This record gives sequence, C-alpha cells and structure tokens, in this order.
Amino acid sequence: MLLFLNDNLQRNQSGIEHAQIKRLNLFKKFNQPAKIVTRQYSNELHLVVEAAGIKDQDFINLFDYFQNACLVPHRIVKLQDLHLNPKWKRKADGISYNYYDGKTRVMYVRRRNDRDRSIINLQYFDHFGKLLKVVWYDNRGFASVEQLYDWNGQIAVENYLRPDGQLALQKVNFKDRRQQKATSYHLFNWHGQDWQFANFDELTRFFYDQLAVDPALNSDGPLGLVVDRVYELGWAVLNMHHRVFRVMQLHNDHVNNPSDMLHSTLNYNYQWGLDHLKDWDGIIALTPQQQADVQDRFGKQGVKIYRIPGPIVADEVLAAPHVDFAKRQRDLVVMVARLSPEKQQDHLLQAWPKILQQVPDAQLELWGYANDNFDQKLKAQVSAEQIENSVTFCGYTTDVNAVYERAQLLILPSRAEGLPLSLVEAQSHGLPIVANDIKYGPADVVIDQQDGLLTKNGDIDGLAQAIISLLTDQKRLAEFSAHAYQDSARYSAANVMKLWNELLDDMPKEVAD
Amino acid sequence: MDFFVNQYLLGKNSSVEHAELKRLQLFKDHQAPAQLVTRDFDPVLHRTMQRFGVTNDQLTNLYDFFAQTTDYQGQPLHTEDLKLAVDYQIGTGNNFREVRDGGRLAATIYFAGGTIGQIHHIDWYDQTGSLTLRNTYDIRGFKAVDEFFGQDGHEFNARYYRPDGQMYLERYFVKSVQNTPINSLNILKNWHGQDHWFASENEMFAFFLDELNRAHGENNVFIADRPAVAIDPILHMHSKVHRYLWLPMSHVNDGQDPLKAPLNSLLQNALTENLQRWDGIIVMTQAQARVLRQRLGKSARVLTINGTPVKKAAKRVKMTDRLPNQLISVGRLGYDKQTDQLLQVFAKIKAAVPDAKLTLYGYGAPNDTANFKQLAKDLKIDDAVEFADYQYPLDAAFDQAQLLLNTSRIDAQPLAMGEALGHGVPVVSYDFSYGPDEMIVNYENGRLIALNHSASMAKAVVELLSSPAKLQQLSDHAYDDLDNISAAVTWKQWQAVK
Repeated sequence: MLLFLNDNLQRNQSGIEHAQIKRLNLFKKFNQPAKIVTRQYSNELHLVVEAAGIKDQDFINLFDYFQNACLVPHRIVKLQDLHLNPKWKRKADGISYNYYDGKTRVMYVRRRNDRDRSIINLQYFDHFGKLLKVVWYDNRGFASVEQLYDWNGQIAVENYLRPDGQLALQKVNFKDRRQQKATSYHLFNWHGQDWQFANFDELTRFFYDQLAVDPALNSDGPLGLVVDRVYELGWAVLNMHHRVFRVMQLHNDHVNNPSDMLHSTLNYNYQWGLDHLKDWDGIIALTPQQQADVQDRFGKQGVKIYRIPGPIVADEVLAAPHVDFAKRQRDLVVMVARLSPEKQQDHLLQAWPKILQQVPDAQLELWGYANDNFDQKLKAQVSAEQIENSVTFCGYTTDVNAVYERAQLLILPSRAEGLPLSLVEAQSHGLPIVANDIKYGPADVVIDQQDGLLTKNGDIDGLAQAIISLLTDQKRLAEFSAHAYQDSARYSAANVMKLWNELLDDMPKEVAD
Repeated sequence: MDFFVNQYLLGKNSSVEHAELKRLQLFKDHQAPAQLVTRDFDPVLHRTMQRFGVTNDQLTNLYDFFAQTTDYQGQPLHTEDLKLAVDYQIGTGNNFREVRDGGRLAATIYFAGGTIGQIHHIDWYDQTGSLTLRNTYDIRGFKAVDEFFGQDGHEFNARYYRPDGQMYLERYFVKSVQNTPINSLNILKNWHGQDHWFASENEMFAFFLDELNRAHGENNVFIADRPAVAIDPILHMHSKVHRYLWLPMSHVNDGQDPLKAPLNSLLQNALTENLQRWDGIIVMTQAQARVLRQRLGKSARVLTINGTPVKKAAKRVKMTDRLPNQLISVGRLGYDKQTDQLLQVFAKIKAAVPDAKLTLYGYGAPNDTANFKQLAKDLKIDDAVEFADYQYPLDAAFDQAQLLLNTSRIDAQPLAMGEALGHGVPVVSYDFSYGPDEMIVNYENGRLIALNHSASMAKAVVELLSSPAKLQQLSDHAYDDLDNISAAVTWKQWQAVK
C-alpha cells in the first residue's frame, strides 16, 4: 500500500492537495491500495475530507489515529444531547446560547449555522467569570479536543479525546528560556503505554512508525510512502525507526534559478530532502524536462528519478461532449491560480490596457485565493490602471470546470511552476492557453502554436501580443480549442497509472523489519 | 448510621482523628453502624486505613464514593507493571526512578513511602524540565488522577478516574490575588445521569454528604469533627439529617476567659447564628459543658461524651515489670503544649533521679522540634530524652512506662491521659482546662499540679519514683478507677445522640 503524506487538508486546497486527491482516485480506479495521510488537527477535518470527495476509509489523520477516531459513525450532537443542568437559564446569542446559574454565567454553547444547529463548542466559566476551558466537537459528533486555560489565561494544554471520552493525546504549550512558544506532547494509554514527545515532528515520526507496523495497513504487502511535502514531513520520514520504501515527490521547480539548473541554490521546499538524497528510494519529477534536470544534477548518486505527472484527466472528462466554441463567452480571458507573487498576475494586469486597446470588450476574471495579501497589491494596480470595468476578482471556486467551459482563453504568466494542474484541467475542457515558458510544465502541457502559445517570462509586450493575436483571430482560437481536447489524452488515467506501476514494481515485496 | 465528618486520615494524626478512631471502635464493639467520612483525595488512604485497623465499611471518602471504589480491591502496582515504552531507559533507586528518552529526562516515577516500589505518582516534564503532568496512582493499583501544570508551574486542572479509566470528576484551579490556587469549579460527571457543577470544594463536600445521607435512607447523624472543614458543609446539607458539632478544642483562644472572651473564630458562626441548627453540641468534659451551657443559654443542647473510652485492661503490668524510671509524654510537640517546660521539669527530675528517662511520642512543626532537641542538649539531658516521633499503636509504650507527664495549659480532653490510665500508668499533669481533673483523683491515680508550677511537678515525680510502693498503689488505682471514662459509661453517654 502507498501512503500519500501531507501536512494538512484544508478547504482552500493548493495544487499539491489537488494532485494527491487525483492520485488517490487514480489508485482506486486501478484497485491499487492507497491512502492520504495528514497530521494537522481540525475539528471540521472530515467536512473538508467529505467535500474533497475522499472517503474516510481512504484517509488517515495523525490525531484521528491516536484518538481511535479514523472511522467514526457520524452523528449530530444537538443542544438536547448535552443534558445540561435543567435549572440553568439560557439566553440566546444569535444561534448560540449563554447559560446562567442564577446570575453567574457558567457556559456558552456555540452552534453551527447549519440545518441541524449542531454543537461546535462548549465554553466553561467559573463563578469568577474566568474562562476555564473550551470543548470542541468533531463534526462527526463527539467531544474531540478541550483547550484548558491556565492561571494566566493562556491555553496551557489541549486534550485530544477518544470518542469514548478517554484522554488520548495531550498537547502542552509552554515557553522556553527565551520566552518563545514551544510544545510537547503526551500520548496516553496507546496500546497500554504512555509516551512523551518533545515536539510535533517527534510525534509525527512516531505516528509514521506506528503506521509502518499497523497490521491493518500491512496486510497486502509492505507500506510505501510518497512524501508530498518534504519540507514539513521529511525529517519525520527519514528518522523513522522502521525502514519502509519512501519516495520524495517534487511538486515544483527544485531550484531557485532555473537558468542554472546545475548550480543554482535549491528551492527551500526541497533543499533538506535533496541534501539527504541517498536516504530516499526515489525522487518523483513531474515532467520529462524536470526529470532530465534532476538526473543531470543528482543522477550520479544513484537514486532513481521517476517521472509521473500530478494532473490526471478523468476518462469521463475525455469522453465528455465538447463545448461548441461559438457558445463560449466572446473575449473572456481567465486566470485560475492563487493570487501570489510567483504567479505574476501583476504582469497580466500590466499587459491588460494594451489588450483593451485592440479588443475593447475583453474581460478578465482572476480566480483563486490570495497569499500574503497579494490581492491588495493587485487591486491597487487595477485601480491605478483604471481597468476596474474589465477585471474581476472572483475568489476561490469549487466549480472550476464551469469557468474552463465558459472562457475563451486561459493565461498563466508565472515565473515558476511544477506542473500546473490548472493547465491540464483547462486543456481537458478545450480551453486554449497562453503561458510563460518556464520550469516546469507549460512546455509539457501546451503544444506551441497547436493548442496554445508559449510566451517569454517578463516580456509583457509579447504576452499582450499573444493574447491579442488569438482574441482577434476567433477561427484560430476555435482550432486551438479542438486541439486542446485531443492533446489532453496524454494525461489520461491509463497513461499516468502506467508510470506509477513502474514505481510500484520497484517496491520490496516483503516487510523488511 | 452515624457519620464522623473529617478532612482526612493521615499517617500521623491529631487528636481529632484519634477521638474518631476510638469512637469507631466503641461503636463497633456495640454493633452500632458508624463511619468516618473524609474529604481529601488521598492515594494511600486504604493503606493508612489498614494501619489504623479501619475497614472499608468504616470509612467513606468523597473521591472513593464518587469513583465507586470504596470496596475496590486491586493489586500493588510496580514500575514493571506500568509497561513503559521500550524506548525509555529507566534508572534505579529506592524512592524514585528516572525515565530517560536518550539524554532527556522525560519523567520521574515516585514510590509510595513505606512500600517496596509501589507507584505513588509519575511526574512528566517538557523539554525545558518543567513539570507538565502528574499521574497519581491509588495504592490499590490504578491511575486515580492526572494533574496538569501551566506555564507558571501551577496546577490548573485535574481529572479523576475510576479503575476502568472512566473520568468521574474534573477540577479547575485559578489564581488568587495572593498567587495561591483557588478551586473555582468542580464537575462531577454523569452522576446518576447528570453532570453536577460545584463552585467550591465546600459545595461538593455538602453534595457528597447529602448523597451519602440519602444512600443510607436519610435521617442519619452527621457529626462535625474538624470544625474548619466539616461545619459549613454539614450546615449546607439539604437532605434530612441530624447535625452534631463535636468540639475538639476549647471554644475560646488560649488563655482567655471561657465565659466572656470572643469565641474561637472557627466556631463563631456555628455557635451563634447557626446554633439552633445543631441537634447537639458535644464536648468531652463536664467542665466545658457547664461553661458552654452558661454561655449559650438553655436553647443550646450541650452533651458531654468522653472522648477517650477505655476498656478494662486484659492484662495488668506490675511496676516492677516496667522500665525503671521510664517517663513518657504523648501528644503534639509545641510551645502551646509547653514542651519546653516539660524538658525543664525533666532536667530537675534527672538531677534527683539520674537514671530517669523521658520518651516523647508525638510530632511537631520541624522548627519547634529542632528547638526542643537543642534545648535538651542545652539542659544536658539529651542522653536521657528520646524524641520518638509519632507512633501507633502505643500499647507497648504504655505497658513499659511508669509515669505519664503532661505540662500543657489547654485542651478539650487529653486523650492519651485516658489511654495511660487504662494501661495502669499514673499521670502527673498540670491542672488545666479541660480534662485532667475529671480523670485524675489527686494522690489516687496520679497527681494534679497547679498550672505552671514546674518545681512542684518535678518534686511530685521525684517523690513517686523514689517510692515504688506508692507508685504501684497509684497504678492499681489507675487500672481500677475508670468509671468516668470507661467504654460502658461512654456508650451510655452516646445514647443521647440520635
């Protein structure tokens, strides 16, 4: 079985999470056992898991694992299930309630704004009015963590509970001698033993070692680990006591300066992992170009470099009827990417007034959530260029396909990428692409002059000209769209699975220790 | 059922507990149901009970009651039973063991005093070495509580467990303006289907007493034995109950007029605005009863019940079979008990009777005890004086002694005096309030000496030690004349408590 290791799964997912989910679905389609494994806690994690289309059976979270709560029957906990003291009087606060014993507030019950008004948390107060603890309910219907406040009103301890109410894992917050925040963890009664961990990485290391010997995960052969976030998880994986098959997945360019692949400093995300190259059983590159670059620089160390693209185009998408190009919104240009400096939305906005001069009714939609308040900068730029009427910030969407099927052109003016999922997805929905020819991805996805145009990073005029040339030649654009549908078959499930099978064949067949 | 309400039963006890233990025995001898009731959590309580001969049906502790472990029988738990993780290296030691994860001290395992390696508690530390968690184990072999310590090193939360690991009680502590812990909330979980919240330990204690009362059909007798802890909760009980207040002390402060001086602050409310709520106020001597009746008026029901019931000695020990010139004192060491004066009296005795010996049974505050030991050296009597600390039982000590000395100036009834007389040990005591004059008949079974007349006391002791016939005569009377404090008489006095 392969486990796909990630740090977290959140509502706003980045390309790495999308790639994992697609990979999981691919493995399911071909009956290859696999699970996604995360380590960050959320009391609403399983709402996110469900929304991402992942079954609880195919997902392991560190906290769930130690709380014996990987698979919990969902139940709704409502006010009446709390059996609060009937003598307490309650006062509404929106959909939530304050409870009073006489004149003293004893509890605040926060409820979710959903159909069931399910319980989110309970806040306990003493008769001095001091907040003592907050008990958070997992959305699956059990008290999952209680945050306890110490004498100084700091959250000193977070107690993670098993569904039967037993204390499973305790996170202790404290300050070190420099008054910096630090944490330690105490695991209670785990198979009859107590464990103490000096930090989250040590706990993560222990978690992975427990997975490595968990009979339920090892019944059909040894485990293999695909580490999708090596910056966060690499230490824990390479310090495991049990030696299991482990590979590092690159999701982006592994160097900072793509013009000097052999000598450039390494992308911080992969630096530590690549510095420990020989401890891995393999590195997975996303594109042939990246595979060659990694091979050139690191090949002599003898670790196998695989090439497996992250994006997968589902069979039903490939088989779906094509959108009649005439029905697409005339001159609608979209960009689907996080609002983030390396995506260089600012370059596109710089080119936009030039485009408007030639195509006055052109519209630009920017989809994606913002990083580091980059959206503020972009909005200021739009306002300075007075292009508010033709540029719209649309935010994050869960139905990106509708965007791809409505627009005429997708732009990706990034300075660096791994293998952008959005390009493959857009292409599979017949959307022509204008993208910077940077590392890595655009040149592997876009076939220049056939289903899109490759532009030079930093050449704003060239970017404007490329977009103008296509918008003003609707016939050519329609041909590009037809090609896009055809070319996306390169990312079909069967083709990508073939590449994974090569890796699966390299895994040991017996458990080593 | 009669319930004797106290705070604790410890390895070393005061006269409050000893009065209760004697009372428990008296009730047991008369097949009358009675129980000691304690408030404090105590992981070694059931070991202490064994030591004092108290059985599970004779004591109910608040935590045992809510944990439903009053009768729980477990197995002693040792380090190897903890199944500590194989990654940890465990050191060796008689009182504690260190648990290391590589070079980091992860935890220390502490053993219960007086046991061979039985787990008392485990302290866990963060990587800076600060205590974060303490697991405390009941001596019967289960984890009874987890206590959590905050960034400032103070305990802010505790979870109490049944042997099956189920949590039955949560306690919360906040900081007072004096930087001391205040127990600001207690949550009793799922007690008969309902969580119960208590803003203080007192509220929880009162609820416990009510539940205990109801579990025994109500209308039981509850006696407040330790005023500081028992009075308020018993007054706050809601169920049908007979309330009694036992006075283990004088009702006024040391040296003050018992009729007119302000009441001891611990008793102030209980004997004034709440006086009518007691079915009776119990004192141990007629003298204190007379004073109290005068002070409190006719509406107060003041009962006298001897606190040191004595059974007829099964076997008499002749003076010639005892250690020659062995003197003893029994009771707490302290300046209020005038232990310094006792040593000075003994110095005078030893000057006349060079082989006289004095053994002091009892504990004291560490500073006071050190001072008394120094005083014995300064008086050059340290070779003849033994500080024997607290011991139980003392029957053998009484059977070896020739005289019991008491140089106190105040008490509610010196219990050891009754025990001494029951063992044929004559008593030489100052005539203080309350007690000596109701047990000692001067020149019959001992000597009453005017308060603080130390020279007279030394002289009286020397006379007795120099006259074996006289000493034997007093001893015979001590054995014979127990009418005031015999178990039979005491039991009759108890019949007034209903």
